[in-house]
Amino acid sequence: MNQRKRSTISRRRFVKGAAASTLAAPWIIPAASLGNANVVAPSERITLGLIGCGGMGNSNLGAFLGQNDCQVLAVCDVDQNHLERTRNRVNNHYKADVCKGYGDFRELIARDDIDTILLCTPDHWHSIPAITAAKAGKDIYGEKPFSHSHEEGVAMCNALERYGRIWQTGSWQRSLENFRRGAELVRNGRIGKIQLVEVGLPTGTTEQPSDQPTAPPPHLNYDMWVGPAPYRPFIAKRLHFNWRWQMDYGGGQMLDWVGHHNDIAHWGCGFDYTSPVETEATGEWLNNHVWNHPYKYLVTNTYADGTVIKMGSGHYYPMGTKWIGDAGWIFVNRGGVLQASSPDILKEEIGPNEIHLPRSPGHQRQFLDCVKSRRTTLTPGEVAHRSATPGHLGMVALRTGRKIKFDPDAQKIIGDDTAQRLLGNAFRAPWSL
Amino acid sequence: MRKALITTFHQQRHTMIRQSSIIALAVTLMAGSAASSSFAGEVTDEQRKKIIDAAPEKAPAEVKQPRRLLVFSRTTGYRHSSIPQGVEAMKILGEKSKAFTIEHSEDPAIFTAEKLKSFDAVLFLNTTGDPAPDEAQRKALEDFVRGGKGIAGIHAATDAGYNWPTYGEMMGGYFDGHPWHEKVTLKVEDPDHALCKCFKGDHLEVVDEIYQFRDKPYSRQNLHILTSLNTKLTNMEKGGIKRKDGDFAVSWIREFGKGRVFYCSLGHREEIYWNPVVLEHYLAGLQYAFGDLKADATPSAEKAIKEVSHYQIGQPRDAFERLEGIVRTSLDDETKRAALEKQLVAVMADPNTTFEGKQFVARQLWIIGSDASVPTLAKMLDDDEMNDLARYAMERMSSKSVDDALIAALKSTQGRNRLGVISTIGRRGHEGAEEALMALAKNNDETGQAAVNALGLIASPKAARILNALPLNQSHVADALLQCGDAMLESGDAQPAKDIYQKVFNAGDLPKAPRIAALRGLISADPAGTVPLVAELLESDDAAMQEAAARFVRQIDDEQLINGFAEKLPSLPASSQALLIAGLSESGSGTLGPAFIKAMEHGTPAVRMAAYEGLARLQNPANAVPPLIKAAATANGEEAKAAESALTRMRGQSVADALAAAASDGSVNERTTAIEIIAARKDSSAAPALAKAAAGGGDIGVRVAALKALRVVGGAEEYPAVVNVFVTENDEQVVNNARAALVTIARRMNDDEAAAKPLADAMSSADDAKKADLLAALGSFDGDTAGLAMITAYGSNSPSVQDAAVRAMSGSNNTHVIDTLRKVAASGNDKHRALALRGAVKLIPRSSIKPEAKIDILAQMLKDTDDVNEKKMIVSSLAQVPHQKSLGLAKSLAQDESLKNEAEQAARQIEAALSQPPVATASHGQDRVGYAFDGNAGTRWDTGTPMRPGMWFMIDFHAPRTVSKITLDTRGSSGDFPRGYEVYAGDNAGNLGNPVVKSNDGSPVTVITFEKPVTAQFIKIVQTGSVDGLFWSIHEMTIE
Repeated sequence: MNQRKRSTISRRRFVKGAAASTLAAPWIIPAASLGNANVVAPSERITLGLIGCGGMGNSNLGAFLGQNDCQVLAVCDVDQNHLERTRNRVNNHYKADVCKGYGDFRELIARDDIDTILLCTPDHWHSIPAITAAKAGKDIYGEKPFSHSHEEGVAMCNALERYGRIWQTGSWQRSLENFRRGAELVRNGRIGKIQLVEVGLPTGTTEQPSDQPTAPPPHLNYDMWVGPAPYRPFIAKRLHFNWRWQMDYGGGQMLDWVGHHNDIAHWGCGFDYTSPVETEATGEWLNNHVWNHPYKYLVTNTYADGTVIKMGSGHYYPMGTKWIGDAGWIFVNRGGVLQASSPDILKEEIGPNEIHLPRSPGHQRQFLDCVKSRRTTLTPGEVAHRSATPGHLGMVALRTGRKIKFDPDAQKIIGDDTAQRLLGNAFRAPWSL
Repeated sequence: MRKALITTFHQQRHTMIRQSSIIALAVTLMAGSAASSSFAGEVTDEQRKKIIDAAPEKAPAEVKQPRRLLVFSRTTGYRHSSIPQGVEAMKILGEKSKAFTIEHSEDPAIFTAEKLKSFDAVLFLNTTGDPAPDEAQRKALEDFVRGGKGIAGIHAATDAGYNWPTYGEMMGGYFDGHPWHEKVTLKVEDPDHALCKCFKGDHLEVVDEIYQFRDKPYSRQNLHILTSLNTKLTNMEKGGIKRKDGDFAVSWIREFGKGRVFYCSLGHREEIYWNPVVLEHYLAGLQYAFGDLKADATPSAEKAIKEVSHYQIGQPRDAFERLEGIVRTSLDDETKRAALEKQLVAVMADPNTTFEGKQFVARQLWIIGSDASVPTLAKMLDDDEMNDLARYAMERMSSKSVDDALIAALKSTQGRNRLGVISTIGRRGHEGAEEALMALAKNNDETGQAAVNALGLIASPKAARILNALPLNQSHVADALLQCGDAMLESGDAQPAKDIYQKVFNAGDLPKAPRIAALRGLISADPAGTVPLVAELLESDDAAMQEAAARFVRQIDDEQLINGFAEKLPSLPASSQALLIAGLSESGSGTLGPAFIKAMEHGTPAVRMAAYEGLARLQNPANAVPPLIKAAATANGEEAKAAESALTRMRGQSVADALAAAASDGSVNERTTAIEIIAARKDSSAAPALAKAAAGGGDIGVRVAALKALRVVGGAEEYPAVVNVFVTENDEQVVNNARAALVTIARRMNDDEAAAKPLADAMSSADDAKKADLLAALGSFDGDTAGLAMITAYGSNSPSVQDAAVRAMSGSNNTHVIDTLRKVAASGNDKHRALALRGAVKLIPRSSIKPEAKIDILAQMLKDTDDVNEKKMIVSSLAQVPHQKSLGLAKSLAQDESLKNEAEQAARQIEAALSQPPVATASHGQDRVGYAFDGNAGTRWDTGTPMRPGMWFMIDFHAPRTVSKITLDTRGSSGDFPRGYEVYAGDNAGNLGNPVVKSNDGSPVTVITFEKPVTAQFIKIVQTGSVDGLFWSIHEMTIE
């Protein structure tokens, strides 16, 4: 097969630039670019359009509505109810009828007056709007996991790179101090050489719904919702939030959370621009006509330097990231958890010439700052793609039952045509990458 | 000579048996050995009775003719002790049901065509190793089965014949360990099957060894599986599990030639042979092998495929799971894969297959499909319902036939189907499809756009030529061209790539986004040649192009060019200056320093702020430190903060060196700023410069700042210099800061004796005023040196020195001075007495002597004074020594009206401390310590890392307590018990003396008993063993 020979287009200085930017401390917003701290002239505001008005869309929307140098101009959803509710929310916030609603993301992206896109669709609807937006010169804040399949992730990285767009991923844990501090201590060798990282992710649902297909409700454009994924008859339980339990639309809890605790694991190990060289996985699948996903899983990823990252459901590890080095361990989790094998490790200072991971003014805020300064964000496209890759490889290892060997530079599976196939799949017409 | 063991079982009523026993006897004689029944005797009467009771009365199928079964149990490997029970069970099974009679043998010589003739089936009962060493024997048995007879296997029948491939193929699998020997639940895969009626349902619970089979020759593509392990109800964390498909079959049948095979892996334990359900299953299996019981032997894979093809939403989906497993196991065996693919394609082609069935099959072909699938799939491309599925199956196959089929389909398909085909051609990157796409690409519609997009995905030079010929006025054409350009550049073809970029960049009709992408390409292809263009764009008033030019500067990996841009900064519009600084700074190159400094000095406020942020990201920026310090020292609030932030964040030794130099050079304000930055950077490499700045002669403000900074970064090296300042200086502010610095540094040095020494040494030559300073410092140290110096000073003749000594001692934490303080409290002047008493009562509870001794001292002190206020102070000290004895004393003191309030308060405090729950601390897993006491054996404390000597777990009772026994329950993680341990007990956590118990012996429940009970506030268990790969865990701990 004449598949593409290369993976991502050249990053050249971009990688180095991103590495160098890690010394950033507090982000300083140039006063002149903000004008008066409270009132920002409309012409100076960054305009934003939201695609996907579900849970994450509304959660992120709240954060952006709170930024006074940002103006939400449009929202888009295939569910008319979600769309109207969200549009009203925006208009109520501005106390004016300023927000337009769209049922087709292409119309929203086509608007010249929209600078940035907030992309909060289900996983199977990440790559197409992201690439469309990049081609239209928009900057994008997109939800994790970066992409539904590995191949789509590579295509997204290339489009973002080619069009010079700013991208921030919803891997917001990087904006929290306990995760930053834990990763920084690990990165600077405070627990010695890393031997093993245990990444605990949630266990997937084991509920066995028996819902039968029905006609889609009139307020939903179901054909558009299915989009590039294989067509299945409408079952309400497969949509809002629950799409993640069906592999055609989501990636189970593993892909849902790979962009959080594994992203943090990568950050601490300095794996922002690399991938595993070997992946093995075991798991158990839930298999019914509504849902189909691995609810129990253990993925073992080995990197070129010998580091092993094990990523498992609740059957194996508590939620969070635990780096285990030859001189101790550090554990981080939500709720501000930062623990170490010895309290002295947490008292360690990071010297002036060591690696300082950037402190964030807030994940959405940092995106807006970078849109202005054109600097690289905390979680740019390729970093997010690399964080999700162990999940994609884990799925392939689960499906084939094989040990996968991977070339992190070419981003190809080595010597296993079957496994390589599973890194991507055909899109339903008329959609294409 | 091999000893032949032949046992015959006579059944007097049956003449056939008598005849065959004669044959058997003849065999024995031929083998040259006497017949003996060595096993029959091993079956007890009780066991025999159980078997008779359990065996079914009636066979499931009618016995068409008298059946003879050869029970063969030869072992050359492991010998199961249950063989006699098995043989007996077979005998009774046949007798009671009247379905067959048996003959038992362990001599492979019986495998000749002639001798086998009298049997209808052969049962391999727990055979191990090599059942038939001779090629002729093997062939005789193979022919026997192929010719239409039966063969059956029980348990270890699959742990045999490893060097006899046909045997493995015939029996259906080779043993690969038995991860389980416990109560398990078996799934009856086909409850209506003739051999499964005995289960009367869909499951069986049983205790036995459960086998795992090697990947080959076991295969659902050959076997009809009857029962298998229900993995959802089984512990799948067991060691030794190798199969990845979760397929652990237990019993099956198959056809082999004209013959029939039945195998069941149950039969390890004796009681299996009087399990009525298992016996019924055996009987049905044997009747199948004889040919009496007709049964469906369709291989399970075929059955699953059939089920899938009929599937409709709502039906059970077990077949889907099975088929996924079969697909997985077929991946490593080309024959199996090809056979499976053929079956799946047939299902795909079958018009009766449901949509859901086809959707599932398409997914399987995505994984295992090959050329063989293509003709069928290609036909589906113009079927509106099937186009997507066909492409799902085909898109990833590396096959020319797929390419050809897709090109053909460009003509045969329409509308949406054709859009799908075009997309698939593009995503396959099919070089060779360009011309076919060319015709479509000219269309000004959805199809044209798709074709252009596909050409961009193919990105070959030919695709580029076709795209180049199209009018360049739409974004999608530009995007496709840019993809071609990127591909060319990546493969080293810079010139044509550059031409494409230039063309797109120049296309003024295009929107800005693709032109910006073209700019990126131009810069990547020819960084040096693009400098004028980038400069021009930066100077233009086009904001988007300014932004893009500034961002893509990062594509340039050439320091000279980068510096060239940096030099242009002053001539650019302010808006692009800030962006360019941001873009350039991501290289981190220190040579940008001077240009950024210039921008910082001369730019607009926004540019200045960008310059600070840019400088912050540079490594070793040249000559940046002095001007930044100047800015930090003189600029307005916001800018000063930005300058400080930049100074704090810039990396590199030259930055540290420049800051160190700035600490000793420049205006007072600048020096102070530099010193404060060094402290903020926590840069210990600048500490010597700070020590110099702190030394005598300079500005007081600078010296104070340096001393403050030394508190942060000073170490043992700087300590003497700080001491020197302290000893020689008289300015109060300097002395106070020097004292604070030396105390903090000494704490870091963690050696109070060494730290106190220069101060103690200085005492002799110091004047009285300085002695007072020194004593104030000495009061901060523990240890003999400081203690002795203070005690000695108290002996001085000078009242001011004596005064300072009392103040130092009473304020100190140095327990060495307790006795002196008590003396002063008893005999000094009034002022000293009050101070000393206060000091003594503060120190006594902290001293390392036993609680009883402390209480004795305090009691004595109470006796020695009549002053009520002093007594009150002593009582408050008593309150801090929790002990039954102090409680008693406090209670008795409460009788004294003048001390009532204080003594009652003390008693309450002591009682509270004594009744406080003990607390535990541990060297590892402090956050999980509570799990050792939560009454839940399912949770645990663990070390989180393999057990190693020195790991410890300590309990603080808050007051001495008597302990006689400690139990550590680790059964929940039974390997995690301590491999060796020492137990310490004492009242001073810092010094618990020698171990009271030592052991090199632990177990899942470790019981530590003391020879005689110990009374102590602290109990500490220290690990002395080590095991790789196992944590030390305690699920529950009890103390008695």
